[in-house]
Amino acid sequence: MTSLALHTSSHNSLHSLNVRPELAPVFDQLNQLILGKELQIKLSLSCLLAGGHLLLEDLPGMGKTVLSHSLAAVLGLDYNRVQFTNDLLPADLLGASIYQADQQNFRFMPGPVFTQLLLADEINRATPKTQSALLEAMEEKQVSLEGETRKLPDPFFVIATQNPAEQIGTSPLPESQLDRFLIRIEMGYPVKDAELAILSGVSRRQLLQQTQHSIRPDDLITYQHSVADVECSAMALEYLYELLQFSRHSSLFVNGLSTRAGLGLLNAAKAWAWLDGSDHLLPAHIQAVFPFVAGHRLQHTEGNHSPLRNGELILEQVQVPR
Amino acid sequence: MMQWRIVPTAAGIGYLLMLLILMLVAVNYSNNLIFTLCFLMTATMLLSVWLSIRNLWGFRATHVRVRPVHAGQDLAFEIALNEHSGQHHLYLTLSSQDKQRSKTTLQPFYHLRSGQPFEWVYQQPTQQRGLHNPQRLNVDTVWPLGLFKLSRPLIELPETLVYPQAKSAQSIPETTCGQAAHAHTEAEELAGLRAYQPGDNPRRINWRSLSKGQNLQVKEFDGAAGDPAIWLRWQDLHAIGYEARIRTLCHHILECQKRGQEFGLLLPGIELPPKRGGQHISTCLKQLALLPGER
Amino acid sequence: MRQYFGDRSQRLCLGLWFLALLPAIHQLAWVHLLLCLVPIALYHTMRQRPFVRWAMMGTVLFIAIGWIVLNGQPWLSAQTIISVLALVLLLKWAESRTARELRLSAMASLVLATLSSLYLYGLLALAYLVSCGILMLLCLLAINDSEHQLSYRQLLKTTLNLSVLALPVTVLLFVTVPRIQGPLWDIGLAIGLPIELAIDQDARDIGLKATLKAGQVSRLKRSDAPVLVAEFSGAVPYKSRLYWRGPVFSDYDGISWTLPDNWNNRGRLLRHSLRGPDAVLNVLTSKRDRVHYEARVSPHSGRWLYSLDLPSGQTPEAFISGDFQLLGIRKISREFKYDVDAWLEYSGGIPLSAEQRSAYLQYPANSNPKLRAFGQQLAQSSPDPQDILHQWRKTLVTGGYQLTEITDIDSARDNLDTFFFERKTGGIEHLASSTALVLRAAGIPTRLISGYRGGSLIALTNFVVVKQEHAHVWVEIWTDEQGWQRVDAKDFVAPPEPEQRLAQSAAAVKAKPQEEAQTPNSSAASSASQSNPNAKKPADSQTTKDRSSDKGWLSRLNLGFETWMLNYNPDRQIELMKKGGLRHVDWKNLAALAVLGLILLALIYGLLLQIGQQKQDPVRRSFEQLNKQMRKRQLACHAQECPSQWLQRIATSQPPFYPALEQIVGQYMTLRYTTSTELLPKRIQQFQRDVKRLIAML
Repeated sequence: MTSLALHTSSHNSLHSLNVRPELAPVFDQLNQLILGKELQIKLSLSCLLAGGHLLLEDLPGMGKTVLSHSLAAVLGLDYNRVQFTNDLLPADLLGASIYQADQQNFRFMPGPVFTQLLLADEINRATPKTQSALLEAMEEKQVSLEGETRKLPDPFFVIATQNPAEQIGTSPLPESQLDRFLIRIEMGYPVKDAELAILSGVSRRQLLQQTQHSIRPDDLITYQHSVADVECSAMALEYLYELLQFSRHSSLFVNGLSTRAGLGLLNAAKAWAWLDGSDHLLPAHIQAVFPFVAGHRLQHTEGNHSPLRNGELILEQVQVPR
Repeated sequence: MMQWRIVPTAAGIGYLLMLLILMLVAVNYSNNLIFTLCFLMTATMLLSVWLSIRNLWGFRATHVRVRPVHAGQDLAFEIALNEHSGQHHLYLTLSSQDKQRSKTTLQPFYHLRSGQPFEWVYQQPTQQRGLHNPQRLNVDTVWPLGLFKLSRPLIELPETLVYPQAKSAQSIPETTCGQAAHAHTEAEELAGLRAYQPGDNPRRINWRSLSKGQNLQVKEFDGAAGDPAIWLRWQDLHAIGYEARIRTLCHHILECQKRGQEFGLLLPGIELPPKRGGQHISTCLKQLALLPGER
Repeated sequence: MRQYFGDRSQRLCLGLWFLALLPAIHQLAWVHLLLCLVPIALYHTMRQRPFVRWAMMGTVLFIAIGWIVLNGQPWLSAQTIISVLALVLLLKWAESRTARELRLSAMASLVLATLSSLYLYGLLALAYLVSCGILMLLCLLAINDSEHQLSYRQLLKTTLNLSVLALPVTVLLFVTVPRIQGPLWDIGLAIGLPIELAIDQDARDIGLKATLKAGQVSRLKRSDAPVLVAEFSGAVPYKSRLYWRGPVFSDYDGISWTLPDNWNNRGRLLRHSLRGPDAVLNVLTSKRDRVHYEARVSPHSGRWLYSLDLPSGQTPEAFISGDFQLLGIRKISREFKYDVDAWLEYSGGIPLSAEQRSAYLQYPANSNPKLRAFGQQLAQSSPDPQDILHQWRKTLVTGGYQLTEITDIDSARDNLDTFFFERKTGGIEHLASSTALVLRAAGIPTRLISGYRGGSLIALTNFVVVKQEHAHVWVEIWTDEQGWQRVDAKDFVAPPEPEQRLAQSAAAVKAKPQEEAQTPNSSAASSASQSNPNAKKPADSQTTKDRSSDKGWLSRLNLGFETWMLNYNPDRQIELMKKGGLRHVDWKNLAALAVLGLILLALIYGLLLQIGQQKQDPVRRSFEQLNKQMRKRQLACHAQECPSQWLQRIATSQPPFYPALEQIVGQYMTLRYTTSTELLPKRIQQFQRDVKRLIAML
């Protein structure tokens, strides 16, 4: 049992945080922008490569915005930022048709959602209506307005940030909508060295403005295809299935993981494996992303468990098929 | 951990009796054919034990989950099984060492037919609020001939919370008891826009849409008339007995949940501030369930 | 219509009941047969209305029992037992609703079937019993399958599987379970039940008497009432050497042998008795094979204790008479117990007085002249008694004589002449009387001894039960040199024909359910044997066929079946065990053998069960082997750990192991987590080899 505890506590440190050569420049650049957050960066990259959306959750001022901004800058994506407030209307996000008096017709003014990378800042401040408008766009990768369907650009990522639910004056995302986010990460306080470097160094925003993108969006799409080609053996799938089954049957959780969560997990793990330079999926890859994919989708019956811990609880109990 | 048990059933004892009679007839007539029959029947009896063992072998329970219930309802343990022997397993029954379970209830049979994961529901009646102790769940079978009952442990059932019964003749106290519960957030929630009508509050005019060249619109808010939060208090119910108070409070909590009303719970030594939502309700019910018994 | 008789388990039980009754159906009275139709016809009505049910059950039983009483059918006859059991079972079947009741009905039907099977013989009976057994299992299975998870075919398949798997166990049990020879009463007697209990009141007065007529012994042979129970200390001698001595006759009037008038006079008997510990030994000229035994004699009207020839020694309340009988001082009116020694081979006696000699030479006037002439002729050819005896034996052996067990023999004056020279078949009395007369005519003093020969050995014990059916008559002759010596003519003539034995056993089968055979009113037994000719005939024709063509496989099968199944008895069991190398055969050894065999078979079945289950993946097995080795070094891969992480762990904590492990775990991960199937078997083999090599290195 002691060795098992050791295994879990060293969970994060044991994962190699190296990335395959194609993405090494991206990774390095990001690490220079956001200090001491290699794991978060790698997870965000995995999320983007898997074609999922990212949920950043932490207290204000922990570098959520910087992370998303850096991602956009380094990957060379169009970037829009929407600050969610309680009077933000769906139309403010998606866009609306405006009557043009000179041309005697309506013209569609696209909202900020028509971009490659959208930062939905403090999503839990908006009304549920606005939230669901965004989530629908995320899921469908298209916007239906006034009877017309408009495609969103490809690639299309949403990085949503959220303050912890305890904060006053917020509408936390309902569980069903949390499911739309592939990965949820917490930024956490930086380690001492990193924080000292941030305090003493140049402003992050300045650095950001100087940043040149190191890959193009087309490359990103190619990489996404390569991720999909990562081999997944029956044994790996079996392990993934066991994880899902456990979450469904364990009485630790109110609800089990959905099939969508399972698919997401598979994609995220593949992306992680690809980033790791592997061409096949190992249980280790699944384990690496599992707490971040599953955590926010699970609700512990006792409550008061951090989402990350939810995932780790499952990893501790499910055996790897031999 | 692996304790297999084998007990002859009433039919098994009858069968033994039959074998004895056959033996006596065979001895009396020194009839080797009847001896043969007697031994054949003995042999099948012994072999049926092996078949029974095979019927119980080759599957395991992987997980068990259960949701809290109110006293008097049945606890439903959902047991996930994994069959790995490729055999069919017929006529299995589940039993646990629960003395409360009356013997007359007809036990359902379970069949396990393929190599696929499977889920069984094991129901157990509850009578008292509080923690339902963990017990071992056994799987039994008398298949194929019904002469022996074999059982083996299947899985440990987890400790489960049983909420108090919800029963009350009293309606919810409509008092806020002097202490103001904080107002509904819903009052601030934006519901949508509608066309401006003369007399509307100018503060609610949506200037932004006007600036985009649209008609004058006003914002509409939802839940402006939300119920105030209430307190459910232990000491308000001094007129009735101890357990009756618990049942009443439980009823009130469920009533509040039905109405979507915000409430707080005041128990001796415990104060749960007003809130809404599933988490709050389960916390309140748990506190009620775990109240010590009356001294 | 398909659902007429309840669900399928109900229907199967009815089928079993019918099959169980089938062989005995001709034994049932027509009234009972009609009554059987009632519950079947009224099945639905009675299940719906409790009143009808009770009324019908009461009426049916009342009529059935009333009919038995009116016809004076004996209560314990097979016919009564079977018909009542069948009716009760049918009624039970018709009203049973729960699985438990149906199971009871099925099991009881099998008991009925075994009783019915007594009307069948040979392979047919075996096939019948086995099919009944299988049908009963099918019933049990169908009753258990209350939710119809299996179809009829699957049910049948399961049952047949079970039966086939059960065959080895059956054979084992058949061969090794200690056999006890019935009937049950014998066993009770050995345990110590009073002999009286085993004897009917009517049968009490049968047994040997002060007079002996032709046919009397043969009639006794019809009865299985026990005479005495002997427990030998030490091994039991061959049964043919056991002569139990009863009344000794010297007077013959041509029809019957009689004892002298004052034979029962105690004073006279005691005067001539051989008293004192060595009185008998002193008068013997030769003696061999001493045995010791303890006997219990059933009460009868005489004094005879039927001691084993030749008694010696003393026992309270009894004495040895001048003609070597062990007699009670009082009449044996209750069970009598004694223990004495006996010499199985002997000769000797008190020298004869002239009066005695003439008595032992007396030949009834005007009777059996041919025998007398024959005797005189023998005497002329040689004066030596041994030569005469030899001549006589030769005559018996070559004469084609045949013993029968026919009871009703005319007792005409010259019937021994007719027997000896014309008919050449007759009872043991004819044979013994003829011997006595011929030898007397030849001038040898001769007396006739009645008693019993042999007995039924209770298997695996030292108990012998002597019954009326063992009644026997033999002859003693006097020579001046040796004294009295035994001459038993029976050993020189052919025994009763097997057909007769068959007929007899068939009759016995019928007589036995009546618990005690009613020998005096032997009309019952004879009527039974007459009423059942068809049970005997097919068997007869089969045996004759056997003899005519010895080559057919069917006949060979039949022969094997007869020797190894029908006639497998305690003796054969002991013989087989001794051949198999078991030095000392008793019930403990046999039981131990049976249990050992069962355990062995259980293990084999268990193994089969395991093999059926474990077709473990070779890759997994190798990996687990490796892991087991690593566990000993506290370096095992945790169940929840990915092998890659395991490798990393070892790389940091135990670097010396890393290079070897890296290669093997790498192979494992390639096998497990890539989808390429190229050269897969080869790679698996390589992996297995490498794991083995690494384990060896560790």
